[in-house]
Amino acid sequence: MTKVLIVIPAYNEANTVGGVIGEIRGVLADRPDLATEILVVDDASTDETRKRSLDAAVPVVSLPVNLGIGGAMQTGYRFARDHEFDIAVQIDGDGQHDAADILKLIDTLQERGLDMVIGSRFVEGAPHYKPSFARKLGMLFSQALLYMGTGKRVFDTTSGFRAVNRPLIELFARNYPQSFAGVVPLVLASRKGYRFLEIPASFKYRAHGASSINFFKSAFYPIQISLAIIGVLIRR
Amino acid sequence: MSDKLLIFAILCALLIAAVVLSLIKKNRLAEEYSSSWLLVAVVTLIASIFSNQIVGLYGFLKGEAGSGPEILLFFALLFLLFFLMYVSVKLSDYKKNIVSLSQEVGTLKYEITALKQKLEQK
Repeated sequence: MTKVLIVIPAYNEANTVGGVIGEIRGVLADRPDLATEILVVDDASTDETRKRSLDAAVPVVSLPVNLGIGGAMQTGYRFARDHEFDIAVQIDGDGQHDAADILKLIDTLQERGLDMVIGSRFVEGAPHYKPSFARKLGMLFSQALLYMGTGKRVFDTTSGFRAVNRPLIELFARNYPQSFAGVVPLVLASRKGYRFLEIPASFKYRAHGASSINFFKSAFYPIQISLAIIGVLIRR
Repeated sequence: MSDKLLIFAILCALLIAAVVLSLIKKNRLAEEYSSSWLLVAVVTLIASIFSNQIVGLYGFLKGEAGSGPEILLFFALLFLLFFLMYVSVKLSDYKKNIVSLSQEVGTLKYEITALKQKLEQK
């Protein structure tokens, strides 16, 4: 039986995390062929994220300091590696992703023998989604960098809705980029020869909280992301 | 370099060395940094003694003779830039360690809680 770990990295998602867990459970109940477990990685939240997750009866790994999405996700991959999961699925704790798509990600990963499947807002078949201007600009820039660096075209470079297989779990447990955790892991995976695919997925607009991405927070964004990608490309 | 300036430079070097030793004694400066600052003291001392050669080197780089303070500022700035880069590298290493330690702590706390629950159920 395939062991699947659903990782929910969460920072101050007390309002939504319980609902997300409930939705995931409902979806996974239809698939007895998968041995699934849900893990919440609480990234040092200051609200009741941990309590609400425990109330929903899921394991919670609470980080002592806020590491950001990259550090939180790597914790999930380390957990998946140490507990010998075959597949790890990343889904946001803010309710943006449609839990029903989890099965699409897993099935595509297995049926097509891929290493990673990305739930995308911007490929053909995905429901209309209008990103903010800042996000759109940032994504176009990171798309261009990814294409120049690896020759691969990914439209939704910031999607936090992904499924990866065992080899990628092991790679990401050892080495997961801490900055720009959307696009840089794609560059890393591509450079190591792993194969990934974007498939259409439904995304809702955030109901609570703020996105971890703020492209214009720093005027150094284009330089920093370029350096992060160049770093992955030139490292052995 | 005048004798007064030479004495002043030597005193500065000795002062740096004394401060570094005092910080080491109080355990407030890690060895890796204290060695860098002791190196500064030694370099200042050597530079004071071989000041004519340094003035010559600066003149060669600039194409004309420079004044004492100008030369001092140039080399001090050069040193500070390299030292800042070294500190940035160290900070990056520490950041990596903090990330790794935090992940380990979070996971271990989870494992302990799970074990406790298992023991309580028995």
